[in-house]
Amino acid sequence: MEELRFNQKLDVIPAFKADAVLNGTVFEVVSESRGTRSLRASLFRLAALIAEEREFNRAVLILVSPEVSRQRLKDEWRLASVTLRPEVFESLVLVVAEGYSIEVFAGHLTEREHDAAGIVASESGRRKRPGGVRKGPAVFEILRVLLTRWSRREGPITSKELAAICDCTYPTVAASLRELDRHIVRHSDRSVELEKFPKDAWFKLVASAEKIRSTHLYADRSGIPRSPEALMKRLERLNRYEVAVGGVVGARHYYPGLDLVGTPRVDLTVKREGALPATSELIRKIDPALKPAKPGETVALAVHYLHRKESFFVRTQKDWQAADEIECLLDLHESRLEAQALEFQQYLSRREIK
Amino acid sequence: MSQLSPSAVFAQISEAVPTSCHENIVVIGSLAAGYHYFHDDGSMGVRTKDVDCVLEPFQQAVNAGKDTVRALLDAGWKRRMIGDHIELGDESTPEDELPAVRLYPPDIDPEEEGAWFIEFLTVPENEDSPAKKWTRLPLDEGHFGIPSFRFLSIAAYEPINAEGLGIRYARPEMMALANLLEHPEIKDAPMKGPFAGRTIKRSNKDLGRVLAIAVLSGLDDFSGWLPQWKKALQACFPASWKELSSRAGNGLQELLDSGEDLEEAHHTCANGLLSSRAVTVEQLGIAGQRLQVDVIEPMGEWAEGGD
Repeated sequence: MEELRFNQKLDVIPAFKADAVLNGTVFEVVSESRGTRSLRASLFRLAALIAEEREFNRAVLILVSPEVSRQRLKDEWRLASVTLRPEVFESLVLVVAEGYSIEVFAGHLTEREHDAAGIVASESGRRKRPGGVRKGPAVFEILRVLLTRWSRREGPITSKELAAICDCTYPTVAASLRELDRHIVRHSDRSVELEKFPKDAWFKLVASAEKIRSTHLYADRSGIPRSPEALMKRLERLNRYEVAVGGVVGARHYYPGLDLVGTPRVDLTVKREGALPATSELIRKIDPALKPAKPGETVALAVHYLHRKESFFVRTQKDWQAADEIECLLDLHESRLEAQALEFQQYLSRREIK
Repeated sequence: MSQLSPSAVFAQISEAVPTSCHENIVVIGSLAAGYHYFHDDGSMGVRTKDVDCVLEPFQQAVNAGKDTVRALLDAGWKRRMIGDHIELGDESTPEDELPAVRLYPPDIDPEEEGAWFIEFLTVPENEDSPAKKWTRLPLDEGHFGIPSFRFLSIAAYEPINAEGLGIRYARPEMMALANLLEHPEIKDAPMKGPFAGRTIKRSNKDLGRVLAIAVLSGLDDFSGWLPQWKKALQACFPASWKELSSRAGNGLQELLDSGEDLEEAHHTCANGLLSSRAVTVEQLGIAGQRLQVDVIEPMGEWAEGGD
């Protein structure tokens, strides 16, 4: 089955990298365009690609939050229609992405291309930032590692180990630890650990969690939603090493007594290394009915990305992986299950590790 | 188009067909799917005008067909006199020019809007049989023909007993597979007549049936269909099951990728098996995507693996 490949160099046009490729379809993203120059340039570049490169027979131009009127877009599209060869023009699709919504402005998308366009649009902003994948401030990454160690009573850790786990430099670790200074205990061997659960730092983390973890939400569009248990079974069958279950299901792994009837949604933590993993294919395999959620839609599944080198995933007796305790706790907050989040946090504070 | 009660039609067929031939009759098509999913609910009907009955196995089809048609004609069932070949044939009539067996029940006025008729078909003799082949059915009045289609053996594979009626009907998942195999691509050929007021491609109607079955099954996971599909493919197509399995989903994927074809398929479902369900085009497409992921792609992998 085809996979969505990002940031593909296509030799037919010098120095051109497509934002993504899905089989014979090329995707290019233009973000927050204020004029028609970049739109026109992209349209004609894609047209040249279609005309020259047999491997590709479709091209989708995605305008993310364009600051250009609809009329001007129509005018540009008309201009392309009278300029380009008909068979080339008919291979082009113009899509406008605003927030969570994807609108096919001109042309037609297949079901797979439509799904892919949504993913490409949301991923493009992240990849175009300097330094590649967005990580958020390092202090939050380090705080999550310290919290996980605290919840597991694993004791102090050195700055060198922290730098390796979080994939950052020693000065970054040192600066982050200074920010967390009043919550940590420093030992004579320069190792550190949290003294107790750091409430104010924690709430800053919770407030930024969706952004830091690049949360993607999915809703069921089938009209016959599959149960969270069914989604879990399918995930187990896939046996993906980079994926763990968090949220209510993950929290229950650590604390079966969590006071909640049923499972409102499935939360997944995906460990991301270097190139983007093909999450779209993962979601499709779990259930093709899951589509990027629009505001107000009931979320059936959430995906959160983990950028550090060590995942702290735990393999359960049922042979799926649980995300670490702190990711599960963040998931409960993100799901607005505040009572259950507090209950789980209190459990982590008092639990005894055998 | 008639709104038929699957249970009532099944009962009428069971009563009219000689008991000795019950085990040779397999009802297929929308009425079979309707019976499977709605027979407990007397209020649910299926919109159709023809009730397709497969005579099987092939070696018994002619004898069972002769006895059955004889009994129906003697009981007052009336021939449908519409189509290319209406006149009964004789020994000199080529098989592909013989009239099909299409009979209205005695209590039905063929002129009425809701008139329905029964039609007999048979399974192919073996996997090398042509895509469509006629078999002679000689009766005292003259000769009829019964057609076989390549994938009817799949549709009629291990059918289900209609409780207490003696006759059997096709498993919905096997009808779905037969339609997938029949349409590895979307062909432009339209259905003979309009469907609920529109001209519809045959491929879209048949693949729409696959999607309707997927919706009606209400399954959390379609992978349970795979063992039965594998068994049927290897039994019915011992030499060509690999090739057939690997391309079975191509037509469906083409349908899902084409807004126009999917909309046509939706039209047939909304005016057919799913007329009592408010299923959108998007939801119908998702049912197809679920089938692809759960059972069609694994079937393709199985075929490539070759065990």
